[in-house]
Amino acid sequence: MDFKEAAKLGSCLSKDYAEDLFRLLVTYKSISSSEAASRLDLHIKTVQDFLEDMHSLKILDREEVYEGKRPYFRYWLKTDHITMSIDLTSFSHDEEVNDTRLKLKIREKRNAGVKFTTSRSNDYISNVTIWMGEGRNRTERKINLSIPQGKFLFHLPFPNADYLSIKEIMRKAQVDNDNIPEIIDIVNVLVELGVIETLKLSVR
Amino acid sequence: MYFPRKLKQDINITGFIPAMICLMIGALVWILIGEKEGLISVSVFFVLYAMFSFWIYIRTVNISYLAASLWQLLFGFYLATHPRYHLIPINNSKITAFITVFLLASTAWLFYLVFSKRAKWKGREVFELASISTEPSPDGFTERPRPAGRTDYSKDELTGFAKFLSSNLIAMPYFEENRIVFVPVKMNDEFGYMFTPEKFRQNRSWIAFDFVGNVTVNISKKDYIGYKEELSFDQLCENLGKLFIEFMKYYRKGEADRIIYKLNELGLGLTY
Repeated sequence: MDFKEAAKLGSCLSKDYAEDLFRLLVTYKSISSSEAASRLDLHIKTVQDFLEDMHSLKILDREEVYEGKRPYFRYWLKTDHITMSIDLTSFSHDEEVNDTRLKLKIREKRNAGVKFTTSRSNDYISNVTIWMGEGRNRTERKINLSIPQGKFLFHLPFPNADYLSIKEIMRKAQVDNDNIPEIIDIVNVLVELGVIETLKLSVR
Repeated sequence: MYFPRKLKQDINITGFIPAMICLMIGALVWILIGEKEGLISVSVFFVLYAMFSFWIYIRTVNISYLAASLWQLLFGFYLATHPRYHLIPINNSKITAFITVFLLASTAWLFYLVFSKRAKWKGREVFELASISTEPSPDGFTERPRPAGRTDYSKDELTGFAKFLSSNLIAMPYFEENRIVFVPVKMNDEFGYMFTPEKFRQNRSWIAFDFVGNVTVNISKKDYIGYKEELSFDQLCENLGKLFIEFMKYYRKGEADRIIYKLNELGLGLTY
């Protein structure tokens, strides 16, 4: 089960009426949304959405029936158990951090419109505030940094300084290799937000 | 040696304000009340100003402020006790002569200190020196501090260095838990530093030496736009850091006079 499906399932299960609906589904061989709604005194749309979500998650099966009126669906349980399993390692960066990514040369972008706040001990950056948009649409985004990220940004080359590789900056900042994923993460975010620029290597 | 100036001309007259206020008050009292009262007010003003100068001396341990304080005090007494003005009648002419002789001697001492630049706040020299080998480069400014390197010193040496920079009006120290931060103060900015040191420190450039040997530099926007053209900000920060690391090395070797020589060699004026 991927995270989105798990979130959908979790959301459905957290409803007040979820337990009652499952009780009906276990009791009845098959049930329509109008029958379930009238039985539990709920709005038909509420029940319909719930049953459709369960069907999309492959917990219920359904059949379209015609009884002289417009067609409707009857639902029944496809399984006796619901198991939720999420692989959290899938959240780590897509590929293993390799030398190529650490060799990426970066520096602070000119006129980035960003404010770096130093920590109380003044040896690392504690947060970055970025202003985006113009005039009334101007918004502020503040990113709090972990200590390794803060130390890394403290040593980030200035806008008109020579580019340095991520590896080189990490060495200067004395950031441990265990922190590489979070360093790569903040670099990616700040590149996206226009705070960090990367050296474009010309390919011949 | 000729050094091209990279800082904009300073036309600030803050340093002359107390003297101008004194003269204006004296002149007003003279016109509105009388000659004797005018002189008394100037005399009182000089005695008060002497106390103020002494307070700066205590804060900075700069000898020229002690000389200024003594001169202002003696000048105030001179006006008040001189037989010609009869403000405070003193029958003993020896006291008047004594005050006159001491006033002349302290004048000579004060002139010597002023012309040898001991009385000069040297922030401007610091920024000029840092910019000497800095090339122009636009859009380089950023508000974050820059690590400027490492150097060796003990905590005692750092404290002594702080006293040296303060007493020579090169940079004023702010003592923190894990470091000492030096803020160079330019001539005419000294009152801001003296009256509200914490407020003064905000938005100012600084050089910090922590207790394990790391040196960090931050150049403020206010100081950066004080240069005639946009200099390479990275180089400027690096040079400022190197300058203070070099100062620290001179100090540790017992050659602190070289620091003063280097700053005075720039040949900037006495009042800016």
